Amino acid sequence: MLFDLIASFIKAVLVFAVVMSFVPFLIWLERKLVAWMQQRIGPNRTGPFGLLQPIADAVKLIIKENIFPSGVEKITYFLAPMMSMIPALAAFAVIPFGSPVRIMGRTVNLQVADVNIGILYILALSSLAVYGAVLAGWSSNNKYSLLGGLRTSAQMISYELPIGLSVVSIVLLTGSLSLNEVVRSQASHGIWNIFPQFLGFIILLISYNAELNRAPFDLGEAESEIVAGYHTEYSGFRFAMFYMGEYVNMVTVAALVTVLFLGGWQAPFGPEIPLLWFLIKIFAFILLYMWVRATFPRVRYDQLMALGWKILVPASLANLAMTAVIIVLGGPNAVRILSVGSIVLAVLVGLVLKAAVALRTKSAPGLAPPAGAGS
Amino acid sequence: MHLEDTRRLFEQARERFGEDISLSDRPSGEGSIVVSGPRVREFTQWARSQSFDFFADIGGIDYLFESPRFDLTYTVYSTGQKRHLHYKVKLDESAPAVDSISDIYAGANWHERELLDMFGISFNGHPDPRRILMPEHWRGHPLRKDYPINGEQVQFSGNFGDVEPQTLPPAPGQDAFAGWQALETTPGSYTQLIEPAAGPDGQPDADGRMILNMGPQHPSTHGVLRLLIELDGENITRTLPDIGYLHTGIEKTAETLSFQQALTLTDRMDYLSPLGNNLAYSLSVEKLVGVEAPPRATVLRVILAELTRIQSHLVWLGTHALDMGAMSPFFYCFRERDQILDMFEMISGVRMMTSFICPGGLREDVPDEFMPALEQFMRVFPSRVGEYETLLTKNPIWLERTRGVGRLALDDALAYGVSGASLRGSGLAWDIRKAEPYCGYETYEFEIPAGTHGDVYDRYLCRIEELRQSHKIIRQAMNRLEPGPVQTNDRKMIPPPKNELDNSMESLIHHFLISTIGFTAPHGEAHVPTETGRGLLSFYIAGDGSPKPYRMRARTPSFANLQALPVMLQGGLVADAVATIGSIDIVLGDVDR
Repeated sequence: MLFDLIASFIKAVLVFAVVMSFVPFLIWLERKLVAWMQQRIGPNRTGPFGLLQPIADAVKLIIKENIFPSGVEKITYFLAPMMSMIPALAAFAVIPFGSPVRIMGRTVNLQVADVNIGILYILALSSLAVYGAVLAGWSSNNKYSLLGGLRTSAQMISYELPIGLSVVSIVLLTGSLSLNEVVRSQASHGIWNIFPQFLGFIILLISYNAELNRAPFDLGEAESEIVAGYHTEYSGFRFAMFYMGEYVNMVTVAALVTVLFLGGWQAPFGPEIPLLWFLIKIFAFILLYMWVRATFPRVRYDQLMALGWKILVPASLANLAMTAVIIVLGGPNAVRILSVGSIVLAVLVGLVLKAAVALRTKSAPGLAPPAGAGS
Repeated sequence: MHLEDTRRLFEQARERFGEDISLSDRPSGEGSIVVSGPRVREFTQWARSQSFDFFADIGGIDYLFESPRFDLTYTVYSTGQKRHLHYKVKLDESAPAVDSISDIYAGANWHERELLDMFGISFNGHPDPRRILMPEHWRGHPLRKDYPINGEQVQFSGNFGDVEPQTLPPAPGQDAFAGWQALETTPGSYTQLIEPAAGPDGQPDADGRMILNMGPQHPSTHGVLRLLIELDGENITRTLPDIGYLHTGIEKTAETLSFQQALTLTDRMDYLSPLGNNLAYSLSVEKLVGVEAPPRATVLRVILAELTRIQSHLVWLGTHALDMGAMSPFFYCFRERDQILDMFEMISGVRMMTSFICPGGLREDVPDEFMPALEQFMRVFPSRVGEYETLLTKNPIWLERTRGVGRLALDDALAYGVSGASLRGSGLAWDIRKAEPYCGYETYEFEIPAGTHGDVYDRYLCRIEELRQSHKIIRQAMNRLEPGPVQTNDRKMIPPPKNELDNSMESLIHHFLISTIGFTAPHGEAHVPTETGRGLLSFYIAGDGSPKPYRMRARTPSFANLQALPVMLQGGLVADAVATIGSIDIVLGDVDR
């Protein structure tokens, strides 16, 4: 009993420390990567390769004065940044980051808590994160903040739906809500979930991009439209908490997608080295999100909603229906049939989308040949 | 338009207006029709029926010692006949008033407000007679010649309490802020104009509309533009632009400087197209004085003006994409822009405010390393335009964000005097370089792109195509560049060369006079329309025989283009507002002057 307590404590502290120390590194990485993509140099003054830049920024933010603008709702204004950061951190508790190890004759799961409803827990916590944005937007007594809070809450709630539906398909495939079990089932199927749930994977990738409030779905804090959205009025440490919360969320989401679709800690080839493959997969996702951010323009609020409700929700429903039917009818070969079916479905959805886009494009012939008074 | 054309039009109009109109030989070479005050509305309607569909400007001049004192010059263009018409109204000193024409040409609205603001001329029937550039409580009318030029001590944070702000309504015995508080309750002030009616409990009305005050400090209003936006949810129901935050009195300042010195002010108006402004100013001054730039200078002017257009469009493209959340194109655009600015630095020592094109030609010849640098830029540029397009033109998100957004019908665009790519996006390929060529643009081969829908996307496509066309023009100009002088040898304007000064006392005196006092311009007015990256730019310059411009009226494209913004924003979302502001490519220095 004592052993378990101590082990849990150590794991909790370790995970907290590692995730939190990821944040400055990710900030640095994002700035550096985006800078390279944009032909800039990026931070390079503080520490080797500018590595200490985020630390310096954090120190600056922490020692800044705490400002309560006049007219704010003090309690919620004070609570909102915590509401946005703590769920992100807490969600990491159920993520398994390695295969169980034996220490002093006992098996220790590399996971802070092996909750048997881990998936539900994560969905619940990510819903809680909405409150941070809503309360910040509402309590700031600022119109931009209010708009940002509204946008973010509508966006996050809408995108929970496709996320939930895609995850349900995984649950069908696994038969368990425990994340550990999800990883193990992928091992026993001999194929990672990304194949039988290809469409679900794509949907989850897009939805989590929106859930994370990252470009091109960063409407809640679209700096060119509503200044900084719900955290316009925040400064100092409270602003830093929003900022950190965002990056912690990114790590959590990347870890979750890795666990759900990419076989968690399992090695795709070669020997299984603890943590190595897990970290590689996480970083692959994070880099993908950074790349997307540097490439795309921002979508508009109504277009974002349309994408969520008109495309992602139906697509994920179709995916869920297909998964359920094939699992019931397919018997032992279900996973293999799904691997084909899912890709076919994904291609179908892609074709429908492409046709829809082409239909809209047809009405716009582009530039007329030079004519009129000028030529 | 030539004097002959004006005379012919005058003869036509004579049948209808009889003795109420007369012919004037100003501006020089073009002439104008002087209309009697009461019939200006009628004449405007007649002009519009004579296919003068594009409203450009109303410029005012205060001839203090003449009678009648005020001279208003209306300028309208015919996009079909490729000509323009000036008509004047002369107003007496006592209670100057004239009928508003803002219901005939919607674009006259702001121009009339500016005249009200600057000259104190009232316009009967104007829908919104308020000041536009100066604060509402300003005393006096700055562009009147009898307005005292003594300045006012500026309040900085260090001396805020010590300076009494003379420009605020007098508030004896009260602190400096009392004036502002009084202003808040002044009927007709901005806050009251758009504030929704309060319900019985003091809260906004049941419509639940919200006023969003966008700017003057906002990341994507491209400067200090303030928009009061009435929102229903995120839908825009009304927009009220508020300008003047960057008003620096350039037109007034120019009257106190010599022609060469006033040139430097033009750089600072549209700070993204300084050489285009220099060119427009120089052409007008040259026409007033009656000199012409030599061929080499003209070809170099074309090269520099087109380079300026390219770099101005690059800033537009970068910031426009940045407004829509696409970060990277901004840096790619600025990479090429830096190449151009490096060239400007090479020729003038300054990256932006070059003042390199000056009356009489160029400041000096370009250095030897300029042409190789230009050649290198010309080699890489077409592929770079392709790069920008890869990121945006067919990007589905970009298409969704821009297509059908911020639409402006062609009729509206013309009536508002919207010019440049913002007009061409609405479907009319009208460009001063083709319609009324200057600097020999008629001898270059290039095309004017035009859109069809008048939305943000078509404006985008037009400007992208203009980048390519400008590249084409520069290439042709490079091929016809030949050695020669770059300044006119007309001694009215240009001092004698250095080597003459050793031998000739007269040359020395002449040199001294032009260097210290400047060259003089005869009595008269001159006007040359040009096309900058933003649209129709023209300087209306009046001389009075002194070395200073008696009046320098700048008809700037941004001012007119911005005026049409509420039309484009109607029914859009907040995000569309940002896209639309970016697409009309305004520079607030150009709007407020």
